[in-house]
Amino acid sequence: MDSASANNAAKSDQGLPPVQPPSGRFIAQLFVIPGLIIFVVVILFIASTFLVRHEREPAHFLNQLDSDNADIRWRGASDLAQILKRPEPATLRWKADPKFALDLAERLDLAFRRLLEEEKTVGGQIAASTDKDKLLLWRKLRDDRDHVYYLTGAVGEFHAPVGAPVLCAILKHDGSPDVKGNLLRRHKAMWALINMGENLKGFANIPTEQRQNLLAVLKEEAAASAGARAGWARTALFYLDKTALPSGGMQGVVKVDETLVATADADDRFLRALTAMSFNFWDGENAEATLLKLANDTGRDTRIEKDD
Amino acid sequence: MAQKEQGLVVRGLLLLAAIGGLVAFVLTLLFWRPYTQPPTLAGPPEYSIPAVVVPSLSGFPSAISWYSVYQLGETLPSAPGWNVRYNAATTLARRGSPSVPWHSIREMLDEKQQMRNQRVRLADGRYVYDEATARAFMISALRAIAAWHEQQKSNPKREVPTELREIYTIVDKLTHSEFDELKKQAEKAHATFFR
Repeated sequence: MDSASANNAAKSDQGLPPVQPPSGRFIAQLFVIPGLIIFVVVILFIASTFLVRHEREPAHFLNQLDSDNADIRWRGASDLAQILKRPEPATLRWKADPKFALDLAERLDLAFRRLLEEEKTVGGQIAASTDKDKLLLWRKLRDDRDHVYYLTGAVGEFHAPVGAPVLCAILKHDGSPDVKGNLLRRHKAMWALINMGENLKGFANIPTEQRQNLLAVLKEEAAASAGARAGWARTALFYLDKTALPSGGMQGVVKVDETLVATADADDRFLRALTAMSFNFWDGENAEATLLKLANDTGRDTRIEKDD
Repeated sequence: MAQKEQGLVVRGLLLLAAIGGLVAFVLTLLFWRPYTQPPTLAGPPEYSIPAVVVPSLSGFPSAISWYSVYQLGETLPSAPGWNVRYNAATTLARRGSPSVPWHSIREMLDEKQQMRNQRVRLADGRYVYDEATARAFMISALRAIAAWHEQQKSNPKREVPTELREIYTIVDKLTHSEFDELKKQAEKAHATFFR
């Protein structure tokens, strides 16, 4: 008992260890090395953000959509669809970008005209063939058809209706040897026009700065040349703000309601039903008369055989 | 002492079984949904037209049962092109047109007719009604009626067509519908009426 108390007394006499000033190496270990680690992490974060941002630029999507590799094309298409179909205001960076919309409309126009040429060629091969499975030849065009379907839907998602003239051209095309493919393409074009009309209504709700910027870019494009692109920009201005149309007024403007009047006479019943719905979004001087005609529709229809 | 512990275990197990049973009962109450067989049809009524209308060819044409013809008319879907006519009618109504074909809108509000228009053939050969789609057409008509009335509010010379008065009666009935969405849209349309 006595020896234990003696030990405790000896320990208490020793007190705390002596205080020494920190060495330079100690300070480096404490601050500099963690600082370096944080610096590297921040640099990596900034670099990855930059790379991701770069990957989401319109030019990146356009490059991917132009790729000869179908996988790359579809990856780009899928990534772009994730953006265009979202309602968040952050997506306005793409959806209110008229140059991007015009670039996609150009690609749709090109892809559509190329597909028509291919359809003629394949149609000729089928007509000359005696093979019982000759209709399977249409399968060769599947990738190109899908590409046109995709672009058709994509141009309808923008606030600037620059793709309307190309969609109208698709809707008016009624003489393809690929009857089924052409009809499905027309259905998709009509749905895209309906979406476009809805987005056109949404133009009034986007922030003023983006609205003015969109109109300024369209005016610039409309005044740039007399090419198709200028006509598409004029068409968009006609529907967004008629007062913003440059000199030359209606030159190159495609009126959607005139196309709808034509599709109201289509042989396909579903296309006529969609036409009636489209007039909710696209008005025109013949809209009322056309709707009254559709209100007495007798239901004539085309019969599409399953051919491929 | 051992007997006492054994009794405690037995009581614990019994309590556990009772709680388990109670939990099972509550979960069953929460998640059990009675399976409701979709309304089925023996077959499309148009298949039976010849047999019903002309039961025997001996006395043709006097043997035609005109009452049966009338009855069959009440069981058939709308004439082809109804989807085009419906879309045109609702679009005209939403535009506030003075020439809305109200008979089409009235037809859209006829639940039985919409069921007949939405017949679907299942993989096993049975015919059923696509009730959700049928009611979607009714809701679309109700929205169009409300939109037409909203458009007419600014028109000082507005008139309520006779056919529309009949629609008012149908909408009144639909405000008591057992289907929430249908009831809600009927009430919204009802609130816009001019009376």
